[in-house]
Amino acid sequence: MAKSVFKGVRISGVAGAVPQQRVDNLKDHQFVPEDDRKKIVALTKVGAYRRAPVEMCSSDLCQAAAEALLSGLGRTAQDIDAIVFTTMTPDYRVPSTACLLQDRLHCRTSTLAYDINMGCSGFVVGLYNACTLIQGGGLKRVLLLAGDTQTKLCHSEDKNVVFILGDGGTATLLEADPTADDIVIELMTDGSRFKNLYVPAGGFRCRSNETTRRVEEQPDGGVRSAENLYMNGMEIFKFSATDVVKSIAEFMEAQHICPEEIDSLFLHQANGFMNEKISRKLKIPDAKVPYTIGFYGNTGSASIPLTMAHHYSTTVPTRERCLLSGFGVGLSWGVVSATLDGVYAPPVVELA
Amino acid sequence: MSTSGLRDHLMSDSLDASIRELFAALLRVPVTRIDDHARPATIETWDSMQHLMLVSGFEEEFSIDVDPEEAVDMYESFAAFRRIVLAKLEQRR
Repeated sequence: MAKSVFKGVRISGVAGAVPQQRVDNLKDHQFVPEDDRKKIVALTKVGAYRRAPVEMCSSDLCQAAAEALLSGLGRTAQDIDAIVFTTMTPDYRVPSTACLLQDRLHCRTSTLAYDINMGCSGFVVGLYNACTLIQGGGLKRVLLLAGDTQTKLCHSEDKNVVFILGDGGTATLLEADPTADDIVIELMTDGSRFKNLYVPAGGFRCRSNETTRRVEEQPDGGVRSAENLYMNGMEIFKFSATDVVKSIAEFMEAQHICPEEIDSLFLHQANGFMNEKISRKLKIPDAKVPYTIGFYGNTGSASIPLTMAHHYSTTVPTRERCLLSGFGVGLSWGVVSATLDGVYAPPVVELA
Repeated sequence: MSTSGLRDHLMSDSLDASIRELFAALLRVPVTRIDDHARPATIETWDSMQHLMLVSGFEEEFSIDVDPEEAVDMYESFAAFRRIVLAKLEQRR
């Protein structure tokens, strides 16, 4: 199994950025009857989310977050040894958007920069990479950027996703520190179920053409093209209810962590109903499970760090034992145990 | 049938009817379409989002708490859904 204990790596700070434009789930989406809108909001807990305008990409959001983070921590772009950018929505197919961000952030040319094509598990996978670069590679500072503009993957009349998915970008700074507490990360993958959450066409397996771009009502009632995101809601709920819960429970048992010892559980912000079921099954009280889904929605790879940024920017910094759980496209999922000690988090940036 | 047996039988019939009526109401279909063989494949309004609303609706109405795995099992058919609701109610007694 891909489970590693990382020593000497500190999470120094985390920052988030969201678009200014707000979508109100009760008022917008007029194609759905008002009663249904109310029920969906009551169930998912997504009252609103942010939508990036056409010209705004995940990289813009992550750049804004990174600049706020570095400035607040008193670090400069010249201090960064590597940029790892996890996203499903890069600026271009080629090259890695991280390369563009090396330039836009004014990092040294001796900076390593690459993308990881992952969605809702992206932050935990990216964290694994960043920790490896520091512990194994001897780097001093790694900027982990996680962001998605998922609204651009959805069709505006696919009610299966349009009430839930939002846009956001984040930056997390990891630094070498021999006094840091261990970070433990376990990652899992099951590619046999990839078709339960994917974009069927527009890649190289099924090239974009007139047919794949055609918007039609689908058997599940959603309206979309083959180049929009498809989600099999019940299979993903089943995945979350079984594999994800089991992974966290087994991780806690293996690491000898009791629910009482957890100060904060940062779950990927998938769906309010589902997340409450997960935390209750794990016997972790609601007060220890920060949420941002109510106002930012499900922001893909950004959802865990955005929730961390919101939480730590609005609370007094203390020492917290945390669990993180990311799960989604692939299917892939992962669990992280980390002790965050005085982590810096500026207020979430709103980008116009 | 004894008096208590008849009373239990009537209450059981009443409970079954309540479950069936609430189920149909939440899915917005006539109650006559809800029998033991009703499944997501046969009820067009019974999709994944609606299913979570069904579970949530029954939790609220009957003050029960459905585990995530049970919620998944309930998606199999109305018979499975009802079986789990009844088991939850029995646990409370």
